[in-house]
Amino acid sequence: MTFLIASILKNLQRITAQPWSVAIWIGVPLLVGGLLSAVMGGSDGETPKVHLLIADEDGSFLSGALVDMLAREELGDLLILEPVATVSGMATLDEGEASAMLVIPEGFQTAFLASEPQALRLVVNPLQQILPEMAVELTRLIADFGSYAQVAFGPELDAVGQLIAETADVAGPETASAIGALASGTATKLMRAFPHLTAAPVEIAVETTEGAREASFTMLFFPGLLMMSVIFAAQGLAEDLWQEREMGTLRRLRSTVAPLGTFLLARVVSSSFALVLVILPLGLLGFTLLDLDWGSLPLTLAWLTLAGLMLSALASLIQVLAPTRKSGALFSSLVFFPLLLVGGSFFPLESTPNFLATFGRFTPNGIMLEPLKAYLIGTGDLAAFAPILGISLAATLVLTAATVWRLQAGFATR
Amino acid sequence: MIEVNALSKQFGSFKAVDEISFTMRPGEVFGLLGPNGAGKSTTISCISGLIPPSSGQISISGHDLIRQPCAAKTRLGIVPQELAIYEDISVAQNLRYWGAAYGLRGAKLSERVADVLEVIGLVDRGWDRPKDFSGGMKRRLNFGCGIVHEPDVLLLDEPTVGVDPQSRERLFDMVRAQIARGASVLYTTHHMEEAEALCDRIAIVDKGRKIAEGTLAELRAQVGQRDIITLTGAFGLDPALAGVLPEGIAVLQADMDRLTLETEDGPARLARLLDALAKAGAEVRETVVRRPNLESLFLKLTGAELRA
Repeated sequence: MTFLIASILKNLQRITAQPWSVAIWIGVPLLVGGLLSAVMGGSDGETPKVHLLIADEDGSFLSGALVDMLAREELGDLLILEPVATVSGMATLDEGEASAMLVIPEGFQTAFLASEPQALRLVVNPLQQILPEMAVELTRLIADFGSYAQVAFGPELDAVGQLIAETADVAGPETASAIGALASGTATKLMRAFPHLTAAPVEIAVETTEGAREASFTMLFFPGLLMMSVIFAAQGLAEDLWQEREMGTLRRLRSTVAPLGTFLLARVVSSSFALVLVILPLGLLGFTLLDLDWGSLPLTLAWLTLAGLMLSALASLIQVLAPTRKSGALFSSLVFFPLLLVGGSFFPLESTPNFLATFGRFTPNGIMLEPLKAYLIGTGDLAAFAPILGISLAATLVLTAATVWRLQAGFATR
Repeated sequence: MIEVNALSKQFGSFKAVDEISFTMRPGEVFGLLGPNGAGKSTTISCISGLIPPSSGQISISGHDLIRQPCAAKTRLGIVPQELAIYEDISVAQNLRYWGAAYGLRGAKLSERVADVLEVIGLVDRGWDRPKDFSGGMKRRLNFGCGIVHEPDVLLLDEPTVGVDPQSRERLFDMVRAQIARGASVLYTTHHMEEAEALCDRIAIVDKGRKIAEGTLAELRAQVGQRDIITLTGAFGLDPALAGVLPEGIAVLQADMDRLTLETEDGPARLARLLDALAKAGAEVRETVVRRPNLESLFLKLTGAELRA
């Protein structure tokens, strides 16, 4: 225990004796983040909106009602609706000037009222990554709502269809009676369904859309920027193993009774402090600028520290496997620079091509980054962290065990 | 305190240490003397548990190094050839760290740190970082880190490499202080003067093998009273020399450009020797006559210079 504490104190003193290293671990991501946000649009407070073209080929009462639903207050904040003809809408999409086009086919109302299957067509702009996905989600929501209505109010819809057909004829007392029966039946069903409707998809959709509202480029990039800082720190902390070796202290340690495991445990503890030291200022800055929930800060710090320990364990193994200090630095860069680029730490995965984003989500930094980002944006929950927590802890243990083996196998005694 | 029995260490086909045996007694400075590459540092590495021996046994204060490594290592202190200290933490922090690494704790650790600061003469600099220290001060701290746990046996591996004469004397005083408290010291060097000044007993090693062992007096007796004459120049083929050399001068080693000879009263016979060589057509450019010492013993035993 005394050696563990002495070793932790020694490590911390050595880290604080190099303030420039810590400044670089913080400063470079800050600089990169600032530049990229400036180039990509930043977080100027403007809510990104989906430019949705509406091609209403049906031109009916129900197709109009559908468009009205999209224009409702909550959805209206997310959508810019533009009525177009299908052909001109396609041309607008081809020019990349809209996110998606919703085509309401002719016969939509008739099919809906007859409880027949009907399909809306959504054409998305492949040049945009995020906004079309939002359009897909929003229109799917509306379609789901329509489908539920179709199932729940089948007889009433039939009656409405009949009434619409009869409007051509002269309306009489029978019509008034039918409207009264329709209103009464609908009200009864709504009253029964009300408890279930409170947990209806509409509510869930509101949460989804509010989270997506905040997903500006800077917001999407912020967790990656923190991860970039963590990666720099992890690499720097791991390189210290070579310094210990070159100073002869690692070799001297092997002639004492102190176990290498305790030496590495002390490094884990002191590295955690160093990682918090690096993450905290960037985190405070980001949470303030992006107006994030301060309650998420402890989780963010803990999660990124865990990520840093795993990445530091990986970097340490690379260092002790390398035959020279120079090659250690080179191998480390060869591994971590691509991870930075692909794993969402340099560009948000949302702005990279799909195949690359899929790959990036499975990189060591990507796998840690995605649940945190979803949580901060508001589209993820705590349960998503659990499996990755297990994976990262297991990976850290395996990598550390391999490093101990390598230290014992010769790295520490040369 | 240390018993080394038939210690061997092989790296591939190269045998760095070849069946070396010796015993060190309490309060004794035992010197391992030999040229660079003789196997001294490998022997020290095996004794300190850094590398496993290929064969042989090492026992420290009665504890077998292989079977009871912790018990053996706690009784061992090491002062490596190169500095092995943290230059970016304080002197006291260095001593605390290495003391803790040897299992010291609490009041005992604090007490030992204070004692060692005094022994190495850095009491006033205890909270300073060594990065701004002179080489001699760093060497003293390097020494202090090896004695903070009061080891029974202290291994000093060429501790005076790159040290100025004043710091070397200070280091010798610190070694003598360890002897005075009852520790024994294994001291490796390729400086014959250091071995003569400090060591009670000496083992001379070359090419991984122990070629002589004894007290200074015993080793000197092996050389006898004969001087060593080393000549540099152009000498032709050695068979021709046998008939040329004056009586009483023996050839230890002969090369085309270097002759190592042994004789009694070398300075008196030098004029005749040079005359004889000149007549034989040899060209002498440099002449060195050495009185009998460890270096001449090494020359006699191996035919090579100790400092080569």
